[in-house]
Amino acid sequence: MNERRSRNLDAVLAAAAAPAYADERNEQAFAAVLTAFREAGTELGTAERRAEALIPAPRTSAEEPARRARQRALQRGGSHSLRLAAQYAAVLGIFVGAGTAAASAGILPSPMQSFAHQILGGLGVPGPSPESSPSGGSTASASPDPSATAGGPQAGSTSGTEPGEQTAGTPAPSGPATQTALQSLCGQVVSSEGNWRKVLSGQDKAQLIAAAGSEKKVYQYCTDLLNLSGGAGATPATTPAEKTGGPSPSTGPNQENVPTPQPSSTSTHGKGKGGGGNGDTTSGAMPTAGV
Amino acid sequence: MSGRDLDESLNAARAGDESGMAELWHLLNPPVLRYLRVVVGQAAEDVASETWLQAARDIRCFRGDAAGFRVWLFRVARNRALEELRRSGRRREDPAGLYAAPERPSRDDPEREAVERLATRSALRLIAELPANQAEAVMLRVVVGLDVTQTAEVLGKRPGAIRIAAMRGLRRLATVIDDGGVLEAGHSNATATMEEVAE
Repeated sequence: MNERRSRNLDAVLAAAAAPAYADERNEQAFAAVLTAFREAGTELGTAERRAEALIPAPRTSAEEPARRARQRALQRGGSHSLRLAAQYAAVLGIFVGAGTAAASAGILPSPMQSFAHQILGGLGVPGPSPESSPSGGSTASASPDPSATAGGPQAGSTSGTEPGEQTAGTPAPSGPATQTALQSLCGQVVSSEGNWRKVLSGQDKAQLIAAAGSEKKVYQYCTDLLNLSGGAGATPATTPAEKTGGPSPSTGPNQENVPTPQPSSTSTHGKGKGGGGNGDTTSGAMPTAGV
Repeated sequence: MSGRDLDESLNAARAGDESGMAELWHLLNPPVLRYLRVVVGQAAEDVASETWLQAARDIRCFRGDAAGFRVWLFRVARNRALEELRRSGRRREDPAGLYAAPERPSRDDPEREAVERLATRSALRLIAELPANQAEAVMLRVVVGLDVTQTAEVLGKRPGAIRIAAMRGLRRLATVIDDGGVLEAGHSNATATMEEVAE
């Protein structure tokens, strides 16, 4: 940029920024600005005085009832909402309580009972039983359930109710075979001298535990069972069928001699403690006790 | 215009003192008017009046220092100018209004003031011929005296964009002046001015 160009630019900028001229201070425009300034001050001062005096806006006598009505409506609206929420909470609580009670009693349909068992199993809610459904119950009591005598956990549960009951009460064709199998297993338990857990397979252990009610009672159960076989020291059986006193076909002459491996087995049915084995025990007892 | 004077006037005006408001107006109306002449041309005085009316109404609620007040005032002026342009449908860089501005007789030295006013008007006309963003940047930075940040606040742009626009505006203005051979007077260094603008 040459010097002349620079000077020209500076001259233009200096002229643009020159001191104010008289016509740039128009008195009429200034008067209008001052008027607006005064008016704004007056309005602001009035508002400030009202605010400082804390004088509420005067209400006429006609406005007062309407204001109170609005306040009452607001209060009603709030209390109504609270009341509605309380009602919803009460209904919800009833449903939850009833559902829990039903789940604990094991009278829910299988899917719901299974769901409740998953969630509330720690509170003693048993799992679903095959007989919980209408068709399942009748089928279990009237017709033989092949799975009840199978080698799986359900087989163990069936045999775990009462040996004698399995033999005579349940019309399972494999009842005597199960009794024999239990006796055989118990023989291994007694002969193993405390190492039966290592001797028996997992399936056999499950079957025995289910029959005895718990793992700790297996040895006692086997002792009793073998003593029964030998005809000495038998304890009168307390099967559910006997408790109810119904004309169960299981109450034969042998039934009275059926040992009671676990007097608590009946109570176990109700509580359903101990996971699947006991839950299955419940299912095994249901046809006899519930019918 | 010194910052201290402007601060005192601003505080007085905020407190409701009319003299404070008058001082503000006397100090800031000329640059506002010149800026608006570049932006809206002939309607500059009307837009300036609207700007000051709003300032008079709202100044009691303003919170800030004198620099902030200048930024706020020029933002108000710019918004009013844009409204006026929308209303009239004119383009911003149309400098027609500058030629139609009425001339008022000076009281002290009419002849000298007439020459200077003519020079000022010519200078504003040249600036108004720049692209709008460059013209505004040059006016606010060089004529009004805002810094880059304040100018960016007024125009709603980034400081970098303001620097570039001001620099390009000055270069273009120098070219226009050189081509037209306008104004031979002046002794300061334009290069220094451009460097200062770019800072």
